[in-house]
Amino acid sequence: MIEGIYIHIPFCEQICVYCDFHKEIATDKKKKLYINRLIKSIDHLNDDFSELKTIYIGGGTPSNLDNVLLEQLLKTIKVKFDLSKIIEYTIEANPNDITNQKSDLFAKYGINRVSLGVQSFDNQVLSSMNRSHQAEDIEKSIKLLKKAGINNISIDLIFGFNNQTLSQVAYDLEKAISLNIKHISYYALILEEKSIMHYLVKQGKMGVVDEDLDYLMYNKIIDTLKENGYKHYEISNFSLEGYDSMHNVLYWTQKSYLGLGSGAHSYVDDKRFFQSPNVQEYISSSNDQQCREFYPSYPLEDALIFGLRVLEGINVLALEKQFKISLFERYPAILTLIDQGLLLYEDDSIRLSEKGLMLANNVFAALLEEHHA
Amino acid sequence: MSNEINIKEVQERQKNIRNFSIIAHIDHGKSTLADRILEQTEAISSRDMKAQLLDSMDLERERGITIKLNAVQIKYTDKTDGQIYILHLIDTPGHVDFTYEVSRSLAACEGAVLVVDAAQGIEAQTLANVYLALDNDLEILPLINKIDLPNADPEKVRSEIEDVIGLDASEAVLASAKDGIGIEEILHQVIAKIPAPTGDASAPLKALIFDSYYDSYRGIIPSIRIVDGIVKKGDKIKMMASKTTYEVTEVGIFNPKQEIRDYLGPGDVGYLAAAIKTVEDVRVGDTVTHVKPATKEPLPGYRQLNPMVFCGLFPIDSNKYNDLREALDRLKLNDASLIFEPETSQALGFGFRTGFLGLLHMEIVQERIEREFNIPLIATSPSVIYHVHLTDGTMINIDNPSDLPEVQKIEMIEEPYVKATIMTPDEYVGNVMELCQNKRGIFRDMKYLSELRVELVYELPLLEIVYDFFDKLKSYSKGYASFDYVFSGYKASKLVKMDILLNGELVDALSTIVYKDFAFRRGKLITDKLKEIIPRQMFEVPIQASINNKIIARSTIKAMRKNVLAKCYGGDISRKRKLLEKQKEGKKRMKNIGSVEVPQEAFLTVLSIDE
Repeated sequence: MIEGIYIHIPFCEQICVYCDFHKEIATDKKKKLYINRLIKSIDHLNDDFSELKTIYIGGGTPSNLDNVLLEQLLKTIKVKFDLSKIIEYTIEANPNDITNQKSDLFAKYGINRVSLGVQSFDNQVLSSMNRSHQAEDIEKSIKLLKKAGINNISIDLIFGFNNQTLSQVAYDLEKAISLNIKHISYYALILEEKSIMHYLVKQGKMGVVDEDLDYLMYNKIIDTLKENGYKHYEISNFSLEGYDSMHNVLYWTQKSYLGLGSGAHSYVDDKRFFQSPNVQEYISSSNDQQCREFYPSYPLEDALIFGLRVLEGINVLALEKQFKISLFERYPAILTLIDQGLLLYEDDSIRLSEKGLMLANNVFAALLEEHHA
Repeated sequence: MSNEINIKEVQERQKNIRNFSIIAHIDHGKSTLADRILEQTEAISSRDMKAQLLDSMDLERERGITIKLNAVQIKYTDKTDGQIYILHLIDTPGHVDFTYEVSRSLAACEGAVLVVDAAQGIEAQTLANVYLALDNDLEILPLINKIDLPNADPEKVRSEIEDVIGLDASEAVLASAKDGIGIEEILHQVIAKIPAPTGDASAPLKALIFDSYYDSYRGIIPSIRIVDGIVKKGDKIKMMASKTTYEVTEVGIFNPKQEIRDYLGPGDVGYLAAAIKTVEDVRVGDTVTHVKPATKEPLPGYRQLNPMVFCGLFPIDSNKYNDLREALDRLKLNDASLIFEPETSQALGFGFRTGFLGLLHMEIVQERIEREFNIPLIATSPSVIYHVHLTDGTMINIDNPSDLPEVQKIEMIEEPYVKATIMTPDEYVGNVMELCQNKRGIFRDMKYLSELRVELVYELPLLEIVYDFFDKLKSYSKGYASFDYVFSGYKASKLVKMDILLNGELVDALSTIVYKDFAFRRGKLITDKLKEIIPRQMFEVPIQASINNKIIARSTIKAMRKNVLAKCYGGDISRKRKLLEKQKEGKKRMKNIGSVEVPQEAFLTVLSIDE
């Protein structure tokens, strides 16, 4: 049963140097066509949404839509789904997009959580990232959101960007903590091959932090946030008590979710599929089935590899029951990983150790089976 | 049957045959000249013509060198006398590793076109090739190429040819093969100056094997030059060196495709097929004669080729051992100088100890195995053959450092030396001499070839040449020095075996034999380089170099500290899985040594360190 809905808005005002996400800078006309198509897709849904708990509007930059288009979309959602049953309704936003009207609009249509793309509190860093906002916008946007009654605010931060130093990371941490942010997604920079940054690094115009510094930064972030009352609940995610991202947890725990919009991925009835990432193709398609592509799903393996991202771990008994297997027989590698101190096995659960957290890819790769042709 | 062949006709035809090669230093334009000649004589239509047709292997075209020989028959009407001539252009490999092959293909000719670059002048290989041609009594026709280049100085090069080589260059053809200039003129000189073959059609058969290749239907096909007699289908023939007999199933020429002929007579260059299955039976330089009547004396100059450079070849995937054997067998069908025997390494498992004529030969074979047979390889660092004299008075040959006996049992070790001839502009003489000294060279001679060009002669250990001499020479002379060498003999040396230990474990495949005084430095450089190449592991890995169990150098690979994908949401799942798969694939391409994962490049580090 579908527990979450993801809606993708693939438009940005400008492109951040590190980004290889599915997005583009589009004309107003194209945005309008897109939203109309998206609305059509929402209108036509006839799945069972009785278990629906979360809605997440992500991008791209959803907050960059003009208020008219945004309202049309939010209205459609409100009409289609019983929002009284939705526990978490998130929209992603850039701090500089948040105005009085926009935050009121969010609140009016039931959005109760905003994920702000902060990335850094340092203007110089923000500018070399080619972000559209400045440090001042961050506090301003938080105030506006709170004024509108939205207190569940999450921020995204990046560490390890360019030639960032430990003290710059410390500064970002200090700012985030002082703002009493409920939820922080703190990502190590991934130098994506299709990003502008990759090109700049290759040209020698931008730097990368080395593994040792990256390690120190990550540890500093974990320690500082823990000291300040945050729970480290997923590899890159931290929350104050009661503020885990319910929607994102769906992804890691193999729950069903439906993705709407160009490039959005779904996992429904053990099947994985996505809508065409070509915006034009999506707009011209007459229904979602027409521009949908399926790809293989490996439920057990996904349950392990993605389940272990959640630091409280996986309940072995529940997993064995669900998949009718004996886990350690099926995956002898787990025993080796326990021996190596990368996994812990306690209270019937397996989870990443501190060392395993740092080397999580090695753990995941060891659990990968050879069935992917 | 032989009475069907009109001896008179054969003799008449023979008068109009001209056999020649083109010899040159690498990059002086040999292949382009050959292309133009083929075009001009319409041996092939230019539509069918791939650039540099004689270099038929992909690898050859890519590297701009000729590895396997080719021979083409061309019909050409001379503008001066209006007669039709039959020209055989025999290509020669352009590299020092293949000197013997060059000498045999030159032996199949009466003349050679000597191509010299109008800007660069005479280089080491130019001289080496000229000497080979003179050894074979060839008529040499100088051709100064690339006269279209802005820095061309044909007159200077002309006098260089006269002063340095002592050839009359007054009639040297000034050419630009690229632009088709001088082609007609050189063809006319080939006809006018190179003598027709002198062989006797009615004498017993005498044919020189100068190449061979493998055809899956007809077996090993030798390329031959008939010196005396006539050979045709049905003849019983004998290879004089390998002492094997066969019945000829087909004879023909290359145009450049194979074209069947009724017979081949004196001066003809072509091939014969005789269902030959073993490559050892067809040895370059051997003489083919009839079983009856057989010629008494074989042609001079035959010698058995001995590999000079050895390395271990191991499949990264140990399941591919048999595939590797098949690949080597297949390559050997075309390459009698390639030798191999099974070798077992504790570190690398089962593989083959493989012998080559030289470094280039080695690289080519490795590349072909990886490319054509799709077998990823680990090659250990190349070695030479050492003469190891033991305390009990016996002597053994060692080509694998792992086989070196304990130091107590060794009386002394001798290593092979070469006589190296280096040509360089005089401004780099100091650098080149310094390099040769650093490489334990023994100075033999220095000559000014012209005001600005110097020839240096050194005796150098082959080991140092194999190591990195060629690359170093290029950087010491900004690419201007050229170099050629011949084996000169064995000399006693202070040599020791240096072992490498990874995580405390000796890795036999990384052992090398080094000159004792170089050992400390090289040990340090190798351990440092390995530290760079071997990725971080889950634990700290010490790398040590040792001699006779004494550690002489050490470095440490730090433990991997962080390897984690920060982001993974709904749309990332398949993407991240691909990344993890890639990480896993990457591991597969590494060799597990003890508990350390070592990438294949590590085994060649000894060659790539910068001193």
